[in-house]
Amino acid sequence: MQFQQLEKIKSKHPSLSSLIDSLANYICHEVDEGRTRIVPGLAATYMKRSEAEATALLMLFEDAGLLRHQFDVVCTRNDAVLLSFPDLSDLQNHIPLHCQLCDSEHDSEDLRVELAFEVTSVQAFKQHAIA
Amino acid sequence: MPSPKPKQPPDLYKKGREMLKQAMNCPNPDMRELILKAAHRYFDTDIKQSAPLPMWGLIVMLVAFYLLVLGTVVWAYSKLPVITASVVFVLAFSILSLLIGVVLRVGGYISESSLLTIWKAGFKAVTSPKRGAK
Repeated sequence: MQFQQLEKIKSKHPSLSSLIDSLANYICHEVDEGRTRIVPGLAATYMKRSEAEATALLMLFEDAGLLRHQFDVVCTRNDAVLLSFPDLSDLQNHIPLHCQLCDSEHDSEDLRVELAFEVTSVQAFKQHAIA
Repeated sequence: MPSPKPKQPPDLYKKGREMLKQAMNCPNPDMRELILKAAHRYFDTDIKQSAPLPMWGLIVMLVAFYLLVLGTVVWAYSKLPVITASVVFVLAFSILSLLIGVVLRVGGYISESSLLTIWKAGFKAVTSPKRGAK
């Protein structure tokens, strides 16, 4: 059961227990709303913590197998996510990228890379939300 | 002629630096450690995303730089007065060390922060005997 792994993390980091719960609640809320993509900045706002803290905790969740990271390539003009990669080594082959909203080809100057997380086991979070 | 490959967005390194700053301000040591680990992952990804030069390419470049500098030094000692040649010798090796660092960075073998740290340490090593003399 995946949430046993989460409990293990909480026992490893007892001082962060409440933050871990808060993040788990946020993810449950997002899953409940049908969203499986977790953005560190939004999680930070929900938890009323810094983005660095939210990112660090999300990586902890990833280590527990509850999330999987991905790199979003975002258009800096309109903030649209153009592509997502699990590993950035492939990105170079896709630049320049076509943005449908701008209707133009974007070079690296018009792009930024953002870290996001994908929920790996939606069911586990749904069960956690019910419990 | 094929156009050169465009460079990739450099945001991850910047993000890693921001996280390092935030880690320094974090009062909880457990959280601080986690943020530092996360920052390390950002830096790591920044290195991996740069397409690394193949090892043979790196070695050829380094040997070429080394021969160029060695040639300069030999020329300097054969054609110039000893003191001037010594200045050329020191300058040539400083440039060589800079080139080695830059090649390693471009090749994706070290991060920007490592390159800067090496240079800071080198600069300190060169300037500290002078400070001591004062």
